[in-house]
Amino acid sequence: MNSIISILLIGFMASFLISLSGSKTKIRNFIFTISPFIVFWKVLNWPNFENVFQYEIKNIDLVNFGESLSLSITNSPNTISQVFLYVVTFLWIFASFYTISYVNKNSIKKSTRFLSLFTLAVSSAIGLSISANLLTFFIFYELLTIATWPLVSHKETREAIGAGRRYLIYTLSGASLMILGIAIIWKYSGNLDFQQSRGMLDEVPLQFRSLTIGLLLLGASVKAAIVPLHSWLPRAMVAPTPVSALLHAVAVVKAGVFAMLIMMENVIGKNLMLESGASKYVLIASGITILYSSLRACGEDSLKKRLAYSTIAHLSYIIYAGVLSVGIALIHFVAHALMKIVLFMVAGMIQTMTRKRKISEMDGIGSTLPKTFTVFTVSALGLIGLPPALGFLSKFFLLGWLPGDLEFLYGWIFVIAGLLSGVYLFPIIVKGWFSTNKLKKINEENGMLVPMILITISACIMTFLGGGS
Amino acid sequence: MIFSIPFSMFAGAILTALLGSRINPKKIAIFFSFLNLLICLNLKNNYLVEKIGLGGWAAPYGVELSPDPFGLILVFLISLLGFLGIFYASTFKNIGKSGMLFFSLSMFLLGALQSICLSWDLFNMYVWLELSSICAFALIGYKTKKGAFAAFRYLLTSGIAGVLFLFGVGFVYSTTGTLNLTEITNSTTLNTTFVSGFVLITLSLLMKMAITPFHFWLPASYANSPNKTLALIPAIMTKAPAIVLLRIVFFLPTEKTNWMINGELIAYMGSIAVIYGSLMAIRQSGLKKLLAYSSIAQLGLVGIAIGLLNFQGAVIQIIAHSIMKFSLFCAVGALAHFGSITTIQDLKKLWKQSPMLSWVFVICGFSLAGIPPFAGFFAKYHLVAGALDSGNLIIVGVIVISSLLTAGYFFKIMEKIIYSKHDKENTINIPATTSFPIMLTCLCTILFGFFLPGIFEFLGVIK
Repeated sequence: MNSIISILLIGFMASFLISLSGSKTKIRNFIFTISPFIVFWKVLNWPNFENVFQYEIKNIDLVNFGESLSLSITNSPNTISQVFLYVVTFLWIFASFYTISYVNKNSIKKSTRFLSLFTLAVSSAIGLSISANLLTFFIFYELLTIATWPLVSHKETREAIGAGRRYLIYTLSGASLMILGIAIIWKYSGNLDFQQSRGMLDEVPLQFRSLTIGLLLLGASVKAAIVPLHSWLPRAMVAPTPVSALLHAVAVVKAGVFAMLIMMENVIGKNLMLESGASKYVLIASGITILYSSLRACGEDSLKKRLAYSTIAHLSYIIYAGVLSVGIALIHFVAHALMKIVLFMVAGMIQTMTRKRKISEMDGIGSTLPKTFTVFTVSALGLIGLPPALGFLSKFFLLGWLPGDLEFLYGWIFVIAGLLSGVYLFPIIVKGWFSTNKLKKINEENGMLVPMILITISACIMTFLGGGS
Repeated sequence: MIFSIPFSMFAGAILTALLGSRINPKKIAIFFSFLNLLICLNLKNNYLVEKIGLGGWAAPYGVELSPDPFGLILVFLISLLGFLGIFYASTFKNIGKSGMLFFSLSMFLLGALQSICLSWDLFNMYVWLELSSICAFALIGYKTKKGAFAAFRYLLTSGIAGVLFLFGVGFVYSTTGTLNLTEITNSTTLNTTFVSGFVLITLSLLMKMAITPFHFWLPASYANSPNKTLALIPAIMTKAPAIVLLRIVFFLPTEKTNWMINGELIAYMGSIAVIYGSLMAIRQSGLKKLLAYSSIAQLGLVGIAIGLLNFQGAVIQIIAHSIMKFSLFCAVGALAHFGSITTIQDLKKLWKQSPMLSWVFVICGFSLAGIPPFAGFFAKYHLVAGALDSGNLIIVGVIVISSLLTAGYFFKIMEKIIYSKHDKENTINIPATTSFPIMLTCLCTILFGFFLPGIFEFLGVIK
């Protein structure tokens, strides 16, 4: 079978098989953990990734909807999509092991549904990255929303259901704005393919242009959690931790960022962004988001919520950088994914082992769970922008690149945000290690620990390789 | 042969009435509606776009049937859903020999609806519209006490609509001297009488389509009609007037329909129906009522498409909505009949009681809310594209908001189904034959995208 289609289909088939597996937990877990390996292996062996320019660009139409609308995937995604694809498939491997142990340890109810939807969500993210036109992009974007909804509300408490409802309201409204923008493009240019996309808006008449740009960017910014459209994300943290880790630090929110970057780079185009003044608005909005959510993070006591606000800040960080230079944005894209997933995994570990959710209760957690907390420290330092993890590199590039080109204020936002992430992450580290009350050491669950360590190690290696992309 | 389509239905209806006491009426009804489906399927390969005079009498004198794409698509849809609906109704237990009348009426209704879609003559349309509303009246009140009042209300409304239509036909005939649509199109008359004739006809069709403010008959008659009719009446009955309206708007030259198009009156009425229906649906707790109000909203979308001359959007919306609503109404009917589940509250055990029907609710709900890749998404997409074409941004906004409101009331149902304690419950015994039509239409909802190029190709013949 065509390897590109198989990348897409394996995930969906795995999700389907898991949902059929019923009570046969072993088979279910086997499928759940083996499918990311196969997909990642397929992605690594992608024929076109090494030398995109030598191959013929080919779109594969899976379904034709008539009137030049189709569900089609491409065999040569652009750089942004490639990075997204690599990050998601790579982290999926570790997250799947973590998820299995988390589900076993916490005896999550309705676990089959949980695992099936989890796989479905990741598969939709993969579909998102290899989509060949805007309609396909949109279809997977919506599929991701729907698949994540029951995951957010998985605990089925009143709070969880409320969070799911809010998540849906926000994301569906965003999506309907986006589809409106897509419909405008389709109506005037009759084509939604990414490959011809350097000027997708060229044929849209002038009076509709800024409307279209607004709709597309506003639609994408809901999942990217730009203030004031962010409030679904902290609430969605009631979900079980694997969901927060892979989906709300990597797949879903990164899909939003990915959509923003694609819209800015490929659909609208750099020139039009500047001409219409959209890039300025994006800069302002994401700048405000960075400052606002960093400050909010300082005030949160729940560890997951603090991480959520930090995620919001860093997403905008990526978008902010994306307006200036996509290359650097992508490095931070990878860096943040690698480190935030670990931080969330640690939060889940702490919660599983000690039932502690709040930072104020975490005095001396370093002596209770030493290995876990070492991992946490390394990743947190990386997120602040200190070596050895990858975050160091991306911040280094950002700061090193900025001053020549930009107004004074814009550059300072990075500095302030970096300092603020220090403010909200350092206290946890300090409290954890240097505390007077020494607690007993608890045996750490290996199934959860090993994935985190591996991700952290690969993050450190990537620093020395120079970012990978 | 184009006559054979409605003829097979009428033949079935008459035979059911005559032989129903000796042979099981179910079997006759299923046989003839299947025959009808076969004829339609066969027709799809070698249909004629030429018009056919009934009995060999050509256009100005004889009665003309016209297999144009709009009509043919709907005839096919009615045939398919009609067969499935009769099949569905035949699986209900207490239908025995008294079913004779029921099946006979259903088949008369289906035949009349098909004839409406095929006839090319205003007076003919009137006759078939009246026949269909009389059959529908009898079916809504069929052996229920609650349904009787709703049926009476429906009878009054459709009676008034019928009279209006007849007046309209009279006006048009008095000015043009013909009732054939082609002849009317070609005639040069354009005076007040002519226009008011078409105003009356349009008004009557809008009443039958239940566009706000003429929607008042719909919720009660859908909610109170017996479960076995739920397959036939809600899914297709209101679509035939829509097709007639579409045809009038489409085939009359624009200078003759100025009054309708320039003001975009129908589109605005449709928008009000969309908002009103959706808001009322959010407030409902009974499943049938909820679906009925949702139907008002969805018909409003058809109205929008017709008002903005967006034919693709209208046809796709009609097809998609019929399929989805067929599935949903049948599911609700089956639940009410076999498990006495009638309100949203009762749905909380559904996941254990009947996983299949839970999936129907989930998928058709997504589809109605316009979430890809299901049928409703494409309908909404083409509606939005058409509205953008007309440049009317208010209506674009209404369509977008309508899908969010739909999501609002359908996700309420889904929350009930998905997030509730799934203890061990006794499954409801729904026979496989009852769930077969539901599953089939649900499958069509999922795979709707595959049929779309075919539909476009079919519609393309007209241009």
